[in-house]
Amino acid sequence: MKNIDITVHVSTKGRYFTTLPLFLVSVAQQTLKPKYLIIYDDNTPPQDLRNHPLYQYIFGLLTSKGINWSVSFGAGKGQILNHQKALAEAKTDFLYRGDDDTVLEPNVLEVLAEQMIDGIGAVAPLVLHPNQPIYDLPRHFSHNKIEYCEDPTQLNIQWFRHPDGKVKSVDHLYSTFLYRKEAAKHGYNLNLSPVAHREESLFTYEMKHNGWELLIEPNAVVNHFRYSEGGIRGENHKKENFDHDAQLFLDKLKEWGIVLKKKHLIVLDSGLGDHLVFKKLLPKIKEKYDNLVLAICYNEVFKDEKDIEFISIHEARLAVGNIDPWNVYKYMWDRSWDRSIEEAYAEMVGV
Amino acid sequence: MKKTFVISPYSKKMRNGKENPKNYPYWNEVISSLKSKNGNYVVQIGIEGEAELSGVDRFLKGNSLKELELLLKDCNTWASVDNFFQHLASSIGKRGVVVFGPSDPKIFGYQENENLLKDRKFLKPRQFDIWEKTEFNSDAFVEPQVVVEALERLSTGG
Repeated sequence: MKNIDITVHVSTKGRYFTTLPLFLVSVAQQTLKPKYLIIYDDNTPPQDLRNHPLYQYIFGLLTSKGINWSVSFGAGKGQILNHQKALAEAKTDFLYRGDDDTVLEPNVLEVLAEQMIDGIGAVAPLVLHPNQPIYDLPRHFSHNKIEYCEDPTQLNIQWFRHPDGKVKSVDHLYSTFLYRKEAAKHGYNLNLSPVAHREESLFTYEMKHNGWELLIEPNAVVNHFRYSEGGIRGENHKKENFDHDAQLFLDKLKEWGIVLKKKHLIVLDSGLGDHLVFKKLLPKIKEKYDNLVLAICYNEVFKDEKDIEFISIHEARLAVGNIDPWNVYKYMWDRSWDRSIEEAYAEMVGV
Repeated sequence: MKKTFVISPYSKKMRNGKENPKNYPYWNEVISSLKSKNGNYVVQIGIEGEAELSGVDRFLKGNSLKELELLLKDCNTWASVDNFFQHLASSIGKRGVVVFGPSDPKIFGYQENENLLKDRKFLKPRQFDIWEKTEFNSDAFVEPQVVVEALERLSTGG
């Protein structure tokens, strides 16, 4: 076991008696114990948790495990300030930023720490949602490449199981991760709104931009309970805040010289004949669209095709949810179509 | 002169287990007529579980698309219902006969083929709805002799 000193920090609001205790107990049960745990309490007014029987047990448990815990009171202005405060206050070289609605599997810190060698800025676990089916990582995902961060078909790979079990080098991380204080000298972006949309991507990509490597270690799993009540964003959860942060994020990417890319997805959830009709249009489609991804049912129809990524219908549904926009029969129905199906496909895909 | 005809007689099996309304009911009569002349050679293509038509010389099941393309290239002409086969043949430019019933050849067919539609009154009103909602109706199809004549026309380059 690689023994490094870690400070776990977590911001919390409105979750004293829901998910925060689950998070804290999961930290106490880590096979690699953190040296420090700092809770940044953004509740207004905050409670003195030491007086509550439940927290007497939890704090006692942490103490018994040798974890130095403390509670610091946030300004109620969102998690960014609290994360920045943690960076300033941490006495260790490594920090783990936790979420107050996550539950760590017992080996998370140990497995992440194993990857924390020279040159590594941050290592993230998988962040899975056990209230719904957990799927294998779709093959066409771009492994959190920053240029695909605005592509709705390229979801964060931390949300999926990785059957290959391999550590992946990525451009940005989400949610929760172990990081090196030295790699975080740039700090959190304090210009973000209190909802801090995209803050993890900004924070971690800047590490990458500064020459540090970022990893996702799929053998470390954090369960995200995505609890609807409470949460550090609270009453700041407004569209204008998200819009502000999204624009700030795009401006920073531009400043860093990132040219955004998108994969062009087309879904053929249809019969063999429909695949063959569609195939006739493929030369025009390839001419018009770069980075083509086809979700198909009949691999054989396209087996000689190069420069196209092929995925299953299941993977397409995972990526975009609703695949109706590519249903040529719905397209024809909606338009009382009376021309050939080939013309319908051509019009639908824009060639 | 002996000719080779390829027949793809069935449309996809339906989820409710009923007869697909696009299936032509008179293939056996068509094959009997073709076989009675010049000892023509008739090949049926399909998949496992489909019924063999009476009188065919060969029943090929589960062939790859590449194999079917080769078969198409080698035959004099072909016939099918409204299924994948007309699209495969179109992709290699091989003309054939397609027997339509309730589906519209203007939408699902190719002008270069002999699209045999008995009457537009048999077309299903909602062409893009699922086929399970449509009942099989043998009256919706042309007589077997019409199919045979179309095959003969095409096989002689007509």
